[in-house]
Amino acid sequence: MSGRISERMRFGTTANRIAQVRLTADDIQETAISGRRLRNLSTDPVSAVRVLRNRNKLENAQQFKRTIDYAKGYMQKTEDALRGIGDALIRAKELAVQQVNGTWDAQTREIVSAEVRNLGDQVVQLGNSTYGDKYVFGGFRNGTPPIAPDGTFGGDDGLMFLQVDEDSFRPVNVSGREVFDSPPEHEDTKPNLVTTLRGMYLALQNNDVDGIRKAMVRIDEVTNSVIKNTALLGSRQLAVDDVAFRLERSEEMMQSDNNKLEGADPISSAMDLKRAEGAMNFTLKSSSDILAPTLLQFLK
Amino acid sequence: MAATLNHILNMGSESLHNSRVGVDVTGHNIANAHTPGFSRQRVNLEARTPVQYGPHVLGQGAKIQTIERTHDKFIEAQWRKEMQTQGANRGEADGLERLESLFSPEMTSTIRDRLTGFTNALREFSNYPEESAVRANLVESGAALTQSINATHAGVVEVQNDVSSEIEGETKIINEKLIEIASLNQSIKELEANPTSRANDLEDRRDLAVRDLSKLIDTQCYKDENDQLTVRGPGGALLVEGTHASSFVMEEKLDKGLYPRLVLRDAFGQSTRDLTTNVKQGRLAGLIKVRDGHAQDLRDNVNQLASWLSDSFNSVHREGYGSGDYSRMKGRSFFEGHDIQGEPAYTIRVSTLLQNEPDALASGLTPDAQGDNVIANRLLKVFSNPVSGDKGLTLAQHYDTVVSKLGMDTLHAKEATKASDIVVAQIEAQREGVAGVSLDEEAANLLKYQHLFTASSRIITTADEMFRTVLDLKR
Repeated sequence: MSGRISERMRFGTTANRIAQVRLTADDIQETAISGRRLRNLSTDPVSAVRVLRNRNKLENAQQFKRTIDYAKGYMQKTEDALRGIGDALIRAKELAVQQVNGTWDAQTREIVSAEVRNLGDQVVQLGNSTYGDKYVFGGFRNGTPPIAPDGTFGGDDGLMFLQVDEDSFRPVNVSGREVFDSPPEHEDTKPNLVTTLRGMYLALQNNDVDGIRKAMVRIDEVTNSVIKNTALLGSRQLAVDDVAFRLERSEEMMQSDNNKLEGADPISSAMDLKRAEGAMNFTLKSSSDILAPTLLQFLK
Repeated sequence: MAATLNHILNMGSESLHNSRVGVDVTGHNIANAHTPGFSRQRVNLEARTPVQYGPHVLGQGAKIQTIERTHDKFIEAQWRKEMQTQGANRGEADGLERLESLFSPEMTSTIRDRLTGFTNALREFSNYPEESAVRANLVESGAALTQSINATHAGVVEVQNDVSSEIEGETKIINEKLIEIASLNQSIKELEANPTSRANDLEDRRDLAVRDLSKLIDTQCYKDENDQLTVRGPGGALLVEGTHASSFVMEEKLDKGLYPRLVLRDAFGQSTRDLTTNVKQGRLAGLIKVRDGHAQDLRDNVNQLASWLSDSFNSVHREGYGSGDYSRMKGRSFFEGHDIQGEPAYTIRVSTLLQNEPDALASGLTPDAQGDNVIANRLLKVFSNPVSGDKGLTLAQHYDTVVSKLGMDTLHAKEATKASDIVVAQIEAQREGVAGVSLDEEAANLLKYQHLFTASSRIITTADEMFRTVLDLKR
């Protein structure tokens, strides 16, 4: 006897249908109110994990931006100091070229020596430049001034790497030893920056033309080292700029990816709401119409 | 004594009786139109054996052969089978949804979020190893990370405990059902001692009890010639035989995990059998799968994560020098409590020394160098390098894999539940098509029996008039 519709079925199915419609309407309403499609892990596990990952990466990106700002400031300060030192050396070279000439006498050289002493002091000051509380040429020992007044280098060779992207650590400092001191590998050839200027000062004071000539050669050597390190720093700055740009791009992409994955479309939400309302009304109306009549009512 | 007036009167009175029983049964059907598990009943009328009367064979009227319930045992068997599947799916989905909520995308304090917070604090530490505020912040983030690991572990354990006590609750219901089936077997045997008697309502109740049982656990049933139902359970174990019912108990067995096992005790209390791994169907199977499978896996994974984190992080941290008083000392751990056997996710925390003295945090590879961030950077690489013993996954990727597997499992269990709901609803509709009560039909039956009653009374009044005519002949 298939096709029989029992009482329990008539009422049970109707109750189920109404419950189903209500459930769907509830779900649609919640999506519309929260504006989010991914409310549970199981709604879409793959997207949910991707959203979580992106969300964490966005948080990382904020940290990387802070680090990049810091690295940029650090390198800018170092660059300014190196430029100042470079300028001082150029001026010292000019004076040396001028004073090595036999037309100048001891008195003039005495006057010029004062300028060279100032240049020396200036270089020491620039060598002890700080960013925040850190001496930029100190390597890892950046808590104390790395350049002593006599030109001794008190820092170390520490190269500071900072993480500026998920997979990239970038150096942000240059070796103070290479700029100011004779690095171990150049011990015989490359002179100390401060003592070179000091030597020139003494030669000028003593009216020692030969000493001035020697100082001139040494100034060339230390200038080379300054220029080399300025260039190195420039390339490091470029690399960080490049990372900053990529970070900006990937941040936008992750934002839009997340919006697509977890955001509910407001227009389709509105349509869904309308549809749910219609389905609800129709189900209730048809249920009340269908459930009412039975044969018993006609048997009077 | 056929064709006598008495015979006509008897036939009329029996027909009157039949129609009354018909109305009675119809009334019973209507009263039970909404009773769960009720099968509509019908009166089977049968013509009485005719007798020879002279050259003719005369009918003897109608008698009630049986009052039978409309029932399809194949649909019933199918229904039971699908209910077992539905129960298993639903139990699994319910448990998984509870686990899922621990990792909801709406939450912002998950292990992954805290891991991100911690690595960012570490990055800040690498930028400013000399800053004491940054050090303190790293220690705080570390504590937040260990707390989230502790909390996740506790959440999983709580679900496991809840599910375990639900299993225990369900076994009590199962035991009640087993006793009910056994006692219904007894009552049916007594009522059906007469071969034409059918204990329809009791059979309905027994079917309902077996269906309720099937929602909870594996069942296979068969009836013997006396209409006694034998029920076998997981692994073919005997649950009910005749009037004897076995019972389930939960027993703790230390060698087999932390949670009590499902043990069957036979009707005479003589033997016991551990059926935990044999349960494949019904809600109990789903719950056991969640307790001993999904939740346990999750718990193991969180423990593994905690142990990897502390092992790999500590081994790098021990190489580094701190700051201040600790700038010449190394060999300190960052996390502690992980070396306790078993549940590192429960015990992991940031070392007490570091909590009290953030200077003890290791940042540099060289002593006395406040700006040295080599160790800080190596610590960062712990999070981007694959963790040992795994398939080249980082800690966060490992976590993601675990979470997405949980999401997938939940999704599958929900879909399977939806599918089995549909199948069960279809079978239920089929069953209702056969056994359900239709008021329209019963109304028609009422009319039918009412007319029969009227007509039968006419037979009696006619016979009565005939009697009177015969008696009047005498006057």
